[in-house]
Amino acid sequence: MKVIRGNLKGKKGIPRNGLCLGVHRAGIIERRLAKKLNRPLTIWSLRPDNEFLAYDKADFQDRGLSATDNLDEIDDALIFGVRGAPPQVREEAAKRGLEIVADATCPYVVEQEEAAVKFLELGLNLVMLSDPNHHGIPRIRGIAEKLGRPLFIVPTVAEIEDINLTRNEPIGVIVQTTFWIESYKEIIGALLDRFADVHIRNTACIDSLQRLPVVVELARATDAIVIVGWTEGMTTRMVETAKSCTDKVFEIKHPDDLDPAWFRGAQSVGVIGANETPEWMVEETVNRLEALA
Amino acid sequence: MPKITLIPLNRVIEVAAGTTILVGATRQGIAITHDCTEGICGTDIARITAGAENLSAKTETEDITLETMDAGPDDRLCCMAKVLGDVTVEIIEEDG
Ligand code: SF4
Ligand code: FES
Repeated sequence: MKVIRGNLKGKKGIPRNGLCLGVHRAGIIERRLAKKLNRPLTIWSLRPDNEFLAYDKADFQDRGLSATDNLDEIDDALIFGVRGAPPQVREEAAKRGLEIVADATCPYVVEQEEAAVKFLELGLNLVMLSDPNHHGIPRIRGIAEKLGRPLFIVPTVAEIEDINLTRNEPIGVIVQTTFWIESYKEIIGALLDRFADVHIRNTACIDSLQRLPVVVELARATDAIVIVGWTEGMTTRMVETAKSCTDKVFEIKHPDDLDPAWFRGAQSVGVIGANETPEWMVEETVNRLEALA
Repeated sequence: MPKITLIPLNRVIEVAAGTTILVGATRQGIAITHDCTEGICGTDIARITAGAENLSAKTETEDITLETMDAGPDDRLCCMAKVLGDVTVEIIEEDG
């Protein structure tokens, strides 16, 4: 069995270690600060359990970094993590007088929030193309709620029916940072059919634009594909995208999760990591599959 | 007006001082791969082979992005670097 690793090297906008730029960048910001300030720092995160998975957890703990989603656990200073924070959390942190030493929110998440605010301020009805379970939903919902406005979430063309607006009511469409561009085009086409006043801002991140096509290429070139990841954003999109090409898609969180029975009869298998998956995990997965071959 | 020499294209273009490399090249019909135009995505990394001192200083955003992309000491982001004097810019193409 031939094992082929998804080639992300040299893809513009993807750091060399295979993480997405938002995650790698947040790690750099957090590490720079911990070194500079030399005191324990807490990261407020929408998903504190996952905050360090991409990195060496022990190393982060040694540097005095920890993560929580509970402001009560933070005494004086905090960093906002890569996934950002709803406006209500930011306001509460300010009310409590907590010092924000850095905001490591992915710049694509920030851009998406800015686009949402802009559309709402223009009086448009906000439509977001997204998986309803994506961790970014509470942030955008928080922004819409703060302005007393609804948010329409559209994961597929079918949910356009649920938008209870008439044809000429204006809509502002943003997209989840992690989204497959081909589904995006399809849904936008259907929205243009149904609505007459449509404003669009493509807020998909560079990682979606670069990593997902590699998944498609790999899924098409192999008999089975293994996706190493755990994020409900990018990993889920990678799995969905691969499934549009082949039935044999296996999602694992760790090389230990591999089951040799999955690959019976396969001549070739592809392996690719998600945006928070460290390189060693992808390498280890490749090695174990090669040992099966 | 400052000149930008673009290699490997071997094109020399003139731009108004203060124009970014990206906007300068785009206005002359030269496409440089880019996405965010705000110094965050790193898709428009280029190597400055001469005249680095004639570019605007790096902002913190650009500096963090260059570190994220494991950039070398002569690398800059075309959307952030404003041209103040003559420069030679090598556009780094995707090798994947
Ligand atoms: S997947 Fe995209 S939006 Fe999410 S952190 Fe990475 S670069 Fe940012
Ligand atoms: S276009 Fe994104 S860094 Fe320049």
